[in-house]
Amino acid sequence: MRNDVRDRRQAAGLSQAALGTALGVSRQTVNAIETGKYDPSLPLAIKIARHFQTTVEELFHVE
Amino acid sequence: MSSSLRVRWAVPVTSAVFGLVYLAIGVAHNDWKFGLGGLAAMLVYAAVLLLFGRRSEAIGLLSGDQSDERRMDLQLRVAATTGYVMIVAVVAGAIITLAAQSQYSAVFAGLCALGGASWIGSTIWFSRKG
Repeated sequence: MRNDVRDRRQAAGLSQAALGTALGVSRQTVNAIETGKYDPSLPLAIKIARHFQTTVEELFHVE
Repeated sequence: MSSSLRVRWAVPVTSAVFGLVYLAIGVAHNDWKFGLGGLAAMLVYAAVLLLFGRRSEAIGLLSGDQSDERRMDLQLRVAATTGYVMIVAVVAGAIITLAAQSQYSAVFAGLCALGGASWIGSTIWFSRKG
């Protein structure tokens, strides 16, 4: 699943590690989500969307 | 002791304990090479987990790290893959030992029965659990 997490993170000036800390996940997990290797669970997707003050639909795109 | 610290030490300590078990078996059978070799191998494994568990995600996972949902998912996939490999090995062993009328056929048949019962039981359990 394609997503805009990397763009949003970079726009916020955050490192993967910093975003991971904010979300309670590892840096590697943030990287896996950004590169589309791992699709987060619904609770984590909502958490990410809330962190960037957006919606899941705005952040994640089903191809 | 925090839970993350407990998790970090759990597998290395277990490895070291298994090393001591190998040593005890070796001493009991007067096979020092087996005992000391087993202990050394398990201590080296424990040391690698402790020294590199934070630097390498794979080694961290070997230490039992389940600190987020992706790592829990990885642990499940690792367990499933290992389980499938073991199923193939045990079923192949049962067929081969039965065909050869080996004395070990009962052992493999017992393992197959245990695996089958576990598969059926866990399927029922997890399907009901949702």
